Amino acid sequence: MEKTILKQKKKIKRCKEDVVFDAILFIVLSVILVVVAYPLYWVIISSISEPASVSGGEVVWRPIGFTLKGYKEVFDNDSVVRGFLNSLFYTFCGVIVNLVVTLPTAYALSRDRFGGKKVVTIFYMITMFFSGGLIPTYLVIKSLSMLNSMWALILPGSLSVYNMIVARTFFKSNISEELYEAAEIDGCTQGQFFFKVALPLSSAIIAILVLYYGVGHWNAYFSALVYISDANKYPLQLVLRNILITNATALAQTATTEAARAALREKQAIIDVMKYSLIIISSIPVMVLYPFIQKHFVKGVMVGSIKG
Amino acid sequence: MKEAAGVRKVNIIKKLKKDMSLWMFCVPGIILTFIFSYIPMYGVQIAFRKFNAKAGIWGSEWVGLRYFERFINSPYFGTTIRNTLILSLYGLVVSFPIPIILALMLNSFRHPRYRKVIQTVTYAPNFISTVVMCGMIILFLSPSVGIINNIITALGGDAVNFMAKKEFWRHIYVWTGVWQGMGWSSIIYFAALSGISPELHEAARCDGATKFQLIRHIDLPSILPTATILLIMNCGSILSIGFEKAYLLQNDLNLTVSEIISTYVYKVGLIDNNMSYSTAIGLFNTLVNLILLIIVNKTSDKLSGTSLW
Amino acid sequence: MKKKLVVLLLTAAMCGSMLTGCGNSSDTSSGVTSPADSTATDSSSEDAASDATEDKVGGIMYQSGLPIVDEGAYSFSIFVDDSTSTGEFCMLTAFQEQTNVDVELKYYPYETAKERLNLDLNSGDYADVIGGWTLSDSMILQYGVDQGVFIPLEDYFAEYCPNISAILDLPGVREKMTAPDGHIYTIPYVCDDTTVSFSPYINGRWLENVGMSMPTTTEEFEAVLKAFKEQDANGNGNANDEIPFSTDPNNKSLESLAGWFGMPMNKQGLAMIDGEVVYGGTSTAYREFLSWFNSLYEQGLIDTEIFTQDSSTWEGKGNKDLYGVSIAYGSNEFSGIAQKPEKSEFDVLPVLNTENGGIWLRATNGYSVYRTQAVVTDNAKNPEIICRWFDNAFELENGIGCNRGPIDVVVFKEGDGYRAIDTEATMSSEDAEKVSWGNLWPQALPKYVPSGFKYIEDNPLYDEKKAVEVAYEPNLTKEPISSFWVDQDDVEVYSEIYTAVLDYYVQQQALFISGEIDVDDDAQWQSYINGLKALGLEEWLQMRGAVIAE
Repeated sequence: MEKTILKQKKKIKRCKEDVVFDAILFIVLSVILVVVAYPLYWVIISSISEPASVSGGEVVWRPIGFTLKGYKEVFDNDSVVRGFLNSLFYTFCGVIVNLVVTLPTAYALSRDRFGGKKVVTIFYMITMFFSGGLIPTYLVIKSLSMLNSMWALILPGSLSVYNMIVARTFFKSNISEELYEAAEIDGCTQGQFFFKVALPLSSAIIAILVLYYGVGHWNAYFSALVYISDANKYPLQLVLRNILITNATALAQTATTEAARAALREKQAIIDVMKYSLIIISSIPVMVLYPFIQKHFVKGVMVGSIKG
Repeated sequence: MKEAAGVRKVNIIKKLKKDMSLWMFCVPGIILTFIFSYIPMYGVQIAFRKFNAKAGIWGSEWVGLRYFERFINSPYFGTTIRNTLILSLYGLVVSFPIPIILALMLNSFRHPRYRKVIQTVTYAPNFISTVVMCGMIILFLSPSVGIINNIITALGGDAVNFMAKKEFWRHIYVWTGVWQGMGWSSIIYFAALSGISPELHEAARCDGATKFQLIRHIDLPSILPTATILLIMNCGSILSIGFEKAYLLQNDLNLTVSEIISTYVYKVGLIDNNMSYSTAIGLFNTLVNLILLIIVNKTSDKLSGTSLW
Repeated sequence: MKKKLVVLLLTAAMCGSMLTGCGNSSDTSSGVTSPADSTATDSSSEDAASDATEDKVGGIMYQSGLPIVDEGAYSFSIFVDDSTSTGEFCMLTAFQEQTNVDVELKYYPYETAKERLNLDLNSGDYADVIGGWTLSDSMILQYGVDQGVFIPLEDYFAEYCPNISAILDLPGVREKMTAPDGHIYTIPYVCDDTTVSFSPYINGRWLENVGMSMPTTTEEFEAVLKAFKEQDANGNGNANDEIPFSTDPNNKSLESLAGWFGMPMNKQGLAMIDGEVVYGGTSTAYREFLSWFNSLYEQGLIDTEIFTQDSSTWEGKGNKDLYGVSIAYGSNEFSGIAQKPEKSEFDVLPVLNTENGGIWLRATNGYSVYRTQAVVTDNAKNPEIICRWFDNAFELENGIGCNRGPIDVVVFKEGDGYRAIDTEATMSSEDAEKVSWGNLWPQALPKYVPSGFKYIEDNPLYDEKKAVEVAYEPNLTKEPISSFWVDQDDVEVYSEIYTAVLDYYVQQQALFISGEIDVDDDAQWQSYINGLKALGLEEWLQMRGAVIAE
């Protein structure tokens, strides 16, 4: 009798506290959602509104002065489409290189038994801090005849120390030494283990790396600015940056005659129209990609392997 | 004596052989990094030379610590370092835990489809460019046309000119950064949480644990290693705040708090186009960052056993 | 082990090429439209005396007249910060036809151009001509005088460039263009400019609505502003939405108003008193101005967002007819009223307090001389061809082309003068776009139209700037602030002190005006002066050649 009452009490206790907890969670997350979503919504409606009313603060809940001029300006531009395709290609190739370089390194560094662990880690840590700078790097790339090629965008920095350390941490927590030892008994080498066991179990971290590296390549413009001289090879972000003259002080410095000021204000007006639509256009691919990535954050990936 | 040395040598070779496959894993990365990161490192010496483009790096006159001295003796040295440190630390303290909390909350959330919506929405701001972001901040906070003040006046208060008050500047800078980055930063934690076996949760539930206790005793400890490593790495960029956001949010009234190292260097550089100087400052920042990183890493090692190397 | 060896070898090779390769690499890749590879490699002689024996200078350039070279014989590259919406500049095509010289234009928007230029200069891969707003005095000193990356041009001008020489002979131009070592490193960009740059405009209709006349003193002005605030000056039924006074956020020029108190300052705090450059930032006149302006601020007569808004917000408010008075380059910039042949409702606010020493800083003597707009680098082969090419661009009709539009397309000869047509009205929007101002010519590069040149127009737009000039002329300082070259040894110290002092001055001005610190409190004023001096004010002024005004 007593036992069942106790059990029931426990059950009730769990339900009440959890109900409260769930309710709080719901409220807090909803508030966060609104706080984050509203400005995003605002960006969307601003991209189809008349710029003057946007800066006049009139755009609050709905677009004012509906206009698709921003999108039209962007798509009218051949170089934007070309840049988009270029970026897709660079991102795809870049991520493959990144994975090939990062995953094995991270795995090796996560193994306790690896004698070179400390040396290699420090080797990479140093590059996080010390860099020769733009000029020497440029000269190296030039001497390798990589100027104006995709390789200049992909090979330098192909291993991001930050991402590698994240991957290393993942491997360390999720792929245990015991697992390997069990396989080793059966004659499995590190290589086989890595490809046949570790990688399949690591879809989450692979997904993360694809996301992080992918976004990195997609957003990159500076390397292209430095190494690519053929405008047909420009990635999207560089094309977009060239369209947007974002420096307001340029107006102050350069405009001396009325014609100059008028022309610059005209350019500024075009930028004002395009800037929101550009954000949306350049972020759509990643937004589309994310759900596919997220599928790989699957619960309990590791479970069966050890217990079974 | 010789024997001992010989034995050591054999041991090293033995070890290498044992780890050979693991070394192979590292080789592609090492080669690429060596070529593109180590070889150019000779350029670091630009900070110690009076760089002359025609003479090249090796032909430029060696001046030693001259540019470091110049930086340290410059009128705004103290102000800019102080502003940079405060902004950085404030940002770190605030923006570090929030993505973790967000990930924990999302992980415990009961409605999967709603959760997906929240996730997608929260990471989207990460893609707004800095320029547009700052334009939005200035617009939203405007006392005449801004939404925030519209809400305040609608509720009966007086409009506040937020951007005019330098007391608010750091808060605006940091919290808008949180707004923009928390969703994206929470992805890694969310991924780590997904790896926790549901059986652990179930077992705990059977023993009568509340959801909150689940978080405290299961979820949190499992992402602790990841969190610690990320924290240590963030400490290693304490003096390296980028210039764009601070520069765009600067105005005449907040210069005492908004002039950070990078914005000051930019302004000086507009007049004195001096590569050696900017390299020296970069190196200075790097050294401070490095020292801090080493300290934090050692501390973390002692406290939790987690460290970068 | 093998791999390590390979790596070692690679390293050695790398280092080897670094040591030798650091310096000039004159590989100017012109993968664009040049029909033949430049054969200019054999004509490296810059010796003017050699042409006496040949028909062509350096083997390829005709001594004078057009074309300058034979087709396909020469090409050079230009690096400039600019952008075009159509992908081409029509005058460049015209010049190609005139001169037979091929030009490879590399252009980037301003901020990316600056980064790119830095890389180019320091790696040795720079273009033959570098132009635009990315260059500065100190760069001319560093790369021209000091390192020889930019070459002296005065000999080429003298020998081959009649137009440029004529420009250099204009009053004060040669002096300004000449660097401290006696050479001229840049192609002059001289253009008409107004004698007044930024000045206040007042809404005439508002003035009528409150029944007051144009103020002539600061007291009268204050009364007008008060009336604007209290009454329904803009006539929309709401007496509370008027903002009496504002200014252009990117060019606030508030210190120019200190001229009404006798100290006409520019944004660096310098003023011209009796023909001398003085520093007004610590003067009593400036303090008087700050005190008066602060009282206006306390009365709510000044735009509260004056220090925080950006130009879109300023324009947004102006377009909604919320401003009574604003400092601007031209009133149409904030009024949203399109320019028409008649005067808009805005009037020029006259210089106030002229009976009491009120004066305004002269911006120019009618023209501006820009001396950092185009340099020729030592990568260029046959710089004489480049100089002649620019000289040709300065021919009258070419100058018109760059300035307004190509002859017989936009501008037509009419008797002794030229008529310009309204392209928006008569051409398709696509064609009009091709000849719009930004697509005529990389406008950051030098061009030239003779001083005072005017087009014949049926319905010329109302010239507001002219009205300002006429109204202000009797009350302008005799001379504008003179320019100077920073001494090369001082550049480093100069830039540090200049930045620090300017930062401090700007911020304290904003704090005084908004009342956060009290300008009337002697202790606080003195602490401001001390602050300036601690940052190196006196050192800066010494380098600048200015004295502190009382």
